[in-house]
Amino acid sequence: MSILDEISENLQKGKAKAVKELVEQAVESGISPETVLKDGLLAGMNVISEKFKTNEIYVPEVLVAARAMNMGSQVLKPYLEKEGVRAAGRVCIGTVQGDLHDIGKNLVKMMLEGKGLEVIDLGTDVSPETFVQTAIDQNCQIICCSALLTTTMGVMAEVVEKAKEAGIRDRVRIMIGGAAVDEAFCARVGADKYTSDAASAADAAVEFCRELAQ
Amino acid sequence: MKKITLLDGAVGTSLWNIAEAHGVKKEPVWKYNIEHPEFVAELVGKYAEAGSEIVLANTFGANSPAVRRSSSYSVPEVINAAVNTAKEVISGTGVKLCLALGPLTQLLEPYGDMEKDECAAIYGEMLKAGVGAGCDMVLIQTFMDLEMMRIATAEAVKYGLPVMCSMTFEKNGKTMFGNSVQDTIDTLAPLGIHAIGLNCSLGPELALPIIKEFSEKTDLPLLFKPNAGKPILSPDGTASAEYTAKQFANDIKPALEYVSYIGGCCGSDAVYIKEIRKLLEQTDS
Repeated sequence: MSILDEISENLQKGKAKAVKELVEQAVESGISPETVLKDGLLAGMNVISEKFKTNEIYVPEVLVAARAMNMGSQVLKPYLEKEGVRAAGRVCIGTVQGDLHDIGKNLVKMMLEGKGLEVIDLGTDVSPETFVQTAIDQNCQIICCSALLTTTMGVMAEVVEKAKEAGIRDRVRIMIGGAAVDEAFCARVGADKYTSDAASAADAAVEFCRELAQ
Repeated sequence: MKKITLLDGAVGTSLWNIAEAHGVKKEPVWKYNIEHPEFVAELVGKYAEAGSEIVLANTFGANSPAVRRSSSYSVPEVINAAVNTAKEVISGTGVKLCLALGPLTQLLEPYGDMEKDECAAIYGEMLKAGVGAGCDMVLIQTFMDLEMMRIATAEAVKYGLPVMCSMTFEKNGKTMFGNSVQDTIDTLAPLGIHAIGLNCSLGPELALPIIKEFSEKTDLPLLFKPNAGKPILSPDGTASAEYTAKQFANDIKPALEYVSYIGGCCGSDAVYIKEIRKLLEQTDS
């Protein structure tokens, strides 16, 4: 087994310490940091993401894998920066104002990072203004809004409105998710995409970044 | 036919509706126990009037990490206020009061940073306050992590009151953490609980097969508190329950065959409870 496969395998098992050591070894042996990221860490997270989508694994397995991914990423970060490797896209994510549920949002964040996207986590109870201002200041291609409560989903419509007012709708995609919302709601408030699970959200985000890069 | 006890509907979403009607900002609802006890009293009164035989104290999210994060109150202060307000309303009516415990937003180790001992202590503090203030029973609900449920339940049974445990399931019949109905029964039944079941996350249609599965796998009394269903937005942006109360009552009908405790979760209110009351009366006669 190649060291890259070993990284992927260990990541899937959530062996964070092993992943960290293997990433160090791989970089020291001369493999490019970008290759270690893509064919090691992201390859492993891809398997996790697919298994999550098909209910072969559940949230706990994703959480431990993501933790291993983070350990590996931290080792790689300075090398990637040195070589000028940039993330495929930048996303800001948060649970909307009035809503404090963050498990779903955190899962999406992990899946986005697992696709190699850069994620700015705004936390919970995030105002529409904060979403939009962050997207402007940090040059995000995507805003991801989460809402679990039926009483807070209306805030998503405000995020879309504020983005329109700020004149960024042509370059920023707005994605929504959470127990309260669905596709029909997404169309109604004028957001760009609803996804029903974290892994699909990450797939859609990658697709949007690809489109916007063209 | 066995006796079915009528519970209440949503507490959180209903309190927010009441707050909104009074022009008060939506806040974590446990704050209203101290800052707007009249909202809490109004809701308990509505449920008691609608026919709830057991109502929940407004204590679901009043755990120390949450209370500390956004107020200067203590947990016993918040819980005492919740219990005392409710008790005053239901005094003399025969309605029972149930302490509500919800999940923590932090995740347990190894997925998050919360240690098991710390988690047990947090629930212990809520239980001590709630039982001390005079709750008649305990409902631990809306959990998706069975391990966290096990910890809370192990604390709760120490007090000798009836303890009811309710997990929240996804469409595939498992919790977000992958716990099945069988896992839930195997873990909780040995702890000596009074009832088991499910609440929230799904409307009646999707929740029915899961409560049926419970009925096939355990002899424990079952508790069923589904959501009102997915909401649709009215043109002004406010959420209204898609299922009318009547439809809800009709949809939960098949569950009457096997449940002992029934009520509603997010989106359901006193109107829903009245409809279930009617349904129960019809089935009785």
